[in-house]
Amino acid sequence: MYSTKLALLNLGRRRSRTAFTLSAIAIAVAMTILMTSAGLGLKAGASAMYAQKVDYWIVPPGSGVTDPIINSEQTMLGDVHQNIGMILANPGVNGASPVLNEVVYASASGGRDSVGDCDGSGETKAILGIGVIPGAIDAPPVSSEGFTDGDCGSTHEAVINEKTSRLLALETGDLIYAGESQRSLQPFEVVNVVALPEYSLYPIIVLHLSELQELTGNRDHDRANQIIVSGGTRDFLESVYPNATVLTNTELTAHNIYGDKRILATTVAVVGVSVLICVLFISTTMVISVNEKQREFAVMRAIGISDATIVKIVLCESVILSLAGGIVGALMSVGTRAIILGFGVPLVMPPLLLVAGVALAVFAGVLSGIFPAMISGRFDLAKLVG
Amino acid sequence: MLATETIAHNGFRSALSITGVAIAVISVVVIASLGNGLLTTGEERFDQSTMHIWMSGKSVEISSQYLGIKEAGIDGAHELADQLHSEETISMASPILTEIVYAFKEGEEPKPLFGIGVMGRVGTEVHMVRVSEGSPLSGSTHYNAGRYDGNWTYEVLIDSRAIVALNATIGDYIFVGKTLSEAEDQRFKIVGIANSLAVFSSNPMIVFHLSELQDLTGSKYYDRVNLLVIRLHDPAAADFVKEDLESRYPYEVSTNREYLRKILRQNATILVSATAIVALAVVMGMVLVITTMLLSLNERRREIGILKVLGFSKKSLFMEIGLEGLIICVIGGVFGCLVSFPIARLLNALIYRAVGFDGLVAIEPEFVYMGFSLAIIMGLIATAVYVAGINRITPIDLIRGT
Repeated sequence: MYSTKLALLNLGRRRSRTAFTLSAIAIAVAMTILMTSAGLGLKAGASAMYAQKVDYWIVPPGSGVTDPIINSEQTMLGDVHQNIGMILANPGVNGASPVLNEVVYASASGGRDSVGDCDGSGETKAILGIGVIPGAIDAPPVSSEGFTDGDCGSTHEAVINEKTSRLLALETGDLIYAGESQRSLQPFEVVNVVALPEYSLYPIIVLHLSELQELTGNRDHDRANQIIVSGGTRDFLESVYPNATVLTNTELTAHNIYGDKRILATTVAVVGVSVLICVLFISTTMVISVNEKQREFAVMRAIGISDATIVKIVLCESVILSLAGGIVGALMSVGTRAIILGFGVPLVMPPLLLVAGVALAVFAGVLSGIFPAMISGRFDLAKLVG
Repeated sequence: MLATETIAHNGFRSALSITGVAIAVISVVVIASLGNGLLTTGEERFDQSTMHIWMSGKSVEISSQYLGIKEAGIDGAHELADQLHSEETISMASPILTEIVYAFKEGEEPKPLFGIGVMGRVGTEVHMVRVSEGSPLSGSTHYNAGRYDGNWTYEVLIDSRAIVALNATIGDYIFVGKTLSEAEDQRFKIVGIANSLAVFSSNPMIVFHLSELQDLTGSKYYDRVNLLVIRLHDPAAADFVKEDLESRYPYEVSTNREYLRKILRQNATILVSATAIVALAVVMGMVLVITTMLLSLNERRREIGILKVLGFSKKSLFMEIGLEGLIICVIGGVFGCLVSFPIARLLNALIYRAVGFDGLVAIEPEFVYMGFSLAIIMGLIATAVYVAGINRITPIDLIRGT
């Protein structure tokens, strides 16, 4: 395609200008991706960790209600043990487990210390409890070593992460006391201390589902927050839980963005500003580029090249520029991901988000290419030559 | 002045730079106003609420407060409230449970709403929650000294937003439960409408007797609530009472101001994003203007060289063309300041629709000055760059053709 070739040649000729506009677009796109990513990471919290191994998420219907003042809460599913049995019985399913997230108090000693010792280890701390059915699915933390598989009763086993281990000065073999009331904490044996990067945000304790349910008053109605499934089909899962929503990983991300108004607002604002900035930069470059070529366009028209082709050439240049900028921006955000994770800010960067970022740039490119393309059609040969 | 003519001649390009400056200015004005609005509105609402101290469970790590909202609860709420009531300084101590519940009227779609459980004679004149229509909740014996086996009233109050969400009103029956399957077996009657708790949330709410909501949600085993609000006889003693309570109870205690700050911290992501947006807009705007300046300078190297050869002084050169950057920025600044107002109004409308809070983007004169000063600063920087560029053009290079 000639227009592509011409566009590339053009961009190559003015390297510094191309590089400059490219970086501007890349920065805007990278910022958009990173900010949305951070918002998602915070929202997803602990559940971000399962993303690679899980095919489907069964979540309660309706988005959880989130509120700037009252803390965001999660909706729940009921009768999970019964339904998990049905799900696991299906030969197409590789693994599935309900997941319960509840904040609990924990301490290294069983007694209640209302004031706390000076060394801090006697004081109770609030940590995040996760209840799963160990061994039911090959995804950490469900697949942590040390747990007795299944969920039959009072194993009193717990798996903690490094943060908890440091917070309460505990190691494998120690006892950890946990519960909803600081005055009646139950003992659990630490069977393993795990160290996974996605875990490092909060101090976590993983328990057998029924035991966490018992601790937090969710046993009666057998409640959990979601069910993660590996394998299986959407139809089958929807038949088990007709009232719930079944989502893939990508859909979960969209669900999270849409459900939390704060993330939605931030995302919209960032996208809006980024698109504007990209449009401004690309337009500036394109206008100058088109201006330079007045003579060439006039000659082209004189030899019979249609206006449409000229417009195509201009648009091509603009789109290629923005596409390249978008891709560079996406790469930049992937590159800085590790650094930012190191600062302790959770980032959830599903491929969909990266694609969306590039699409944003291309969208800006098309927008900004249109006006200069229209101008380019207006060059009057006679005026130029004369 | 040549500068104005140049700007007019390159109409589209100038428009782009002006827009760039305008965006930077708008973002500064709007975000500063939003921040200011959040703080003042927040403080007003708290003062209005006539509560002075807020007690909540411990948070998962102080630093994680910035990252999200994870708090444990307060257990033994009824007993704790009694203990606090007996204190001299405290006139009222009210435990509050907030839990998401599913609720629906027969034949309607179930929706997740906030269930709020409060103690006492809920809905009466003397209570924190007052009905504006209908009747207060009947007295409840359900708690029964912690056995939770008394009779249920099966009555609730709802707020105006819930009326819309549930398409229900006084006299209707709604099914409520923590999960959908539980809701089908639990029916409550709406006896009144109360909007007093609008300060706590922007979402639709259903108000229950505390013990009944605790029973519904499994919080009864440890008599758990999320929050305990305290009203003092003497509001001025808030700081003192907070310190005292914090030393005696293993919970987080905040005064109004501290609680507001806590909420802001928990929403830190938005604030950080807003700052990032402003930074992005300002930096990009600056870069755009400078680029445009340099480009237009490049186009006119020959003319400037000739003018220099002709003997134009630096000052005259400056007056004729050097001001181009400043003029663009000033125009952009004025434009930006003006457009900020309708944008603020649009944002207010959107925010109101989204979260129910109103008038958050409150533009004060200071912010407009701030925005305009930003434009001037950008203009000065652009001018400095431009002048430096002009100085670097030597006629001899042009004659030689380099």
